[in-house]
Amino acid sequence: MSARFGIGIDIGSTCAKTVAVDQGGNVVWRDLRPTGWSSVDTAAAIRRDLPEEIADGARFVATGYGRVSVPFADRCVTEITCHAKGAAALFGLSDLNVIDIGGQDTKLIVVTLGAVSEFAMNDKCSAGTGRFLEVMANTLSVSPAGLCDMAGRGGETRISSLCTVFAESEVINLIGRGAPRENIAWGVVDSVAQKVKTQAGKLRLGPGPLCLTGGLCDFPFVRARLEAAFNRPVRTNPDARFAGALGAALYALK
Amino acid sequence: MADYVKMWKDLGMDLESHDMLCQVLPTAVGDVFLTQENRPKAMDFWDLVISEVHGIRPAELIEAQKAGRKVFGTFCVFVPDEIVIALNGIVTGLCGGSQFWVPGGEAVLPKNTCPLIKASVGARLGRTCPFFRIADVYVGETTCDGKKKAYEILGQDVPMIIMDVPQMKRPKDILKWKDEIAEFAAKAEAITGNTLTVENLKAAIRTVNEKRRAMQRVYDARKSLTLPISGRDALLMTQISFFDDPERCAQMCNRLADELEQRIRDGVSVAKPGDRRILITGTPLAVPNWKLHNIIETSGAVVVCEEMCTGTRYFENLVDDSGETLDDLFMALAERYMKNNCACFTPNPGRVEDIIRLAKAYRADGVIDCSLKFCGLYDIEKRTVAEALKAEGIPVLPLETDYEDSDAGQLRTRIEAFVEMLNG
Amino acid sequence: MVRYYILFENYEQGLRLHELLDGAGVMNRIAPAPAAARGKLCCGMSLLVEADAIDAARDVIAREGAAHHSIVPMEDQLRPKRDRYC
Repeated sequence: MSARFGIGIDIGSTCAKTVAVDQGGNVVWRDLRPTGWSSVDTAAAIRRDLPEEIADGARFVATGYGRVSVPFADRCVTEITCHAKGAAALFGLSDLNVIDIGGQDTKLIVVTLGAVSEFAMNDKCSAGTGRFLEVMANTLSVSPAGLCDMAGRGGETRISSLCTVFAESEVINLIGRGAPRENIAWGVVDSVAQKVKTQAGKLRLGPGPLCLTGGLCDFPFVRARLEAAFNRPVRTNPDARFAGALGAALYALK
Repeated sequence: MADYVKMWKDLGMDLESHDMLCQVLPTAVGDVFLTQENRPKAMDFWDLVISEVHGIRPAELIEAQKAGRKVFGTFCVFVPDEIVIALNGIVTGLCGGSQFWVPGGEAVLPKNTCPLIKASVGARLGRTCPFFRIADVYVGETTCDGKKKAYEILGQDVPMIIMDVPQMKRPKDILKWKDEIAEFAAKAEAITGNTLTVENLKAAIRTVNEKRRAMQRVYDARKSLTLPISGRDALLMTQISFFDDPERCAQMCNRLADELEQRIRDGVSVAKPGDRRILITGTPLAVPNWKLHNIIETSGAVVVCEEMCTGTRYFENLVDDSGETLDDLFMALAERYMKNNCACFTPNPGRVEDIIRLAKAYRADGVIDCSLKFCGLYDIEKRTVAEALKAEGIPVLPLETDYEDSDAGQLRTRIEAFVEMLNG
Repeated sequence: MVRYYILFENYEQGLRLHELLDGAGVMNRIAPAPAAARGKLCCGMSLLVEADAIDAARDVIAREGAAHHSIVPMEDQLRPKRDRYC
């Protein structure tokens, strides 16, 4: 017997996303909050805040790097599988290539006929992830959102280092040489896009469109640089940062 | 029994550091091996060996040395054990699979050297591995640039013989390897004080072939859909086989194979219904490197075969013992060892063929191609491997890791996602 | 979960008891002695016995006068996903 509601909790390194869907797959509740120091506490807080009429008799699927920290989850499913399912639902496609730029890692997922057919994830290095952007934003004394905004007004600047630590000293060098902050921001965003493109080289991308999910989906300039790097249109969706949680919620229905 | 502390002290080991290693090993062995249920009874032998890993076998080697036998430490499956055994010498593997030894290696090697090399150098220079202390001579080989240069550093501390492994597999390369084997034989004769004869070499070839057959029998049992042994246990068997006496190794492997074959007849499987069957390929997993197997086997999958030096590359292909002269036998050895499809060769189509053949024979649902960090040879070859497997419709997950625990979470995510993908 | 580790002065003692326990049908497994239990003992092997079998193991030891060093209960020693390797 299937549950009345499926609830997906995506505990990422930066944010915890929760989506509840009804049996028709319609989103009935969602929540976004910082993960904070303790995934266990965050999960407990989400559980408390869930309206009882939804939580009662619902099935829970946890995903994200903190998926094992959700004691009340009925199942854990990896963020790769959940993002694929969530993105397919969000974009209404069964063939697509998902680019998920998360706080700690970046994933590329080839979805064929609604299922993962191949994927790649960055290794330990945080270049090409939200973390990289955050570090660089700190160096420039702006928020990550501010950096992405600024970047749109900047001119072409290349940051060649693929390692966050080295890239940071490159940025400091650029600051020292008096390069406009906008240009440096341009270079930072572009370097994320380039790194994602490099990672994609290991995959055979499918015929479907490129779809951006994760926390950076709200920033048009990130999308623009990705389009330039891939020389293909990149779609996104205002709800795309919930893709993993949505996928998890849909799995919970099954 | 031997007093190990006295033995370690006599070997000039750093007891304090060694004790730290002894602290962590039981935890890892417990988590990786003893959490399993329904293991083959014959694994008792390997449980004992790993529990006493720096005790029983080192004590045996020291006794043998007192009787005048020489111990040859080796790093690689290219070194022909048969020569040493024929000369009444003993071959032992050398430790190199623990993060514990890496910092010691990094003190003298660049950080971006592969962890296997850093650990080997660290184990020697840090004086925390009895096998490294006991060996009378090390035999190195030119299978990668990192090792070539590391041997120069080790050579300042211990006598070394380096065998020059060809980089290609043309007929002239096989002849060159035969000459290397002959030259190694002459050096080994000088070290052991014994003379190589057709008889003793033939006998040694048969001994090592017997060991290979026994290991193959254990692996053959893993082809069964009724999986009688976990990948972790099979890996431990293979890892220890580098250190053990070859005749005892064959005997123990045969005993294990007997039990596994009986388990298959009785329908006893260690895999849970729905577990996915994984073939692993890539760089060696030196003892006590169990991270990858443990993560895979706690993520809804089982490892059914290792296309690795700590796997099929170690025992596949027998040496023809029909030759009538030493020259014939050297040639037979050269031909067998040159069948090894290490990524050090160019081109290396044999490895891809092996992976596909083994994936089918062991009925693997997917392949994990994992290399140690900074191993350029295997890392670059991943692309070729992935393309060939995709063409065959065999899913593949490329991974890179080292000996640290810190990437275990990321490995788990990738491996679980791969298993979810295989589950559809 | 508490499990018991039977420690020995040397592995010959350990193997002897292992055979006795096997012969008596008492489930036991060869395990490296946990460092915390071992103290200064140099023997690496121990016998791991689950809580429900330890009384039977003690009976065998008493009946056979089997040599051993001590029996140490340890909690939560085995965790498959701890991811602490060596």
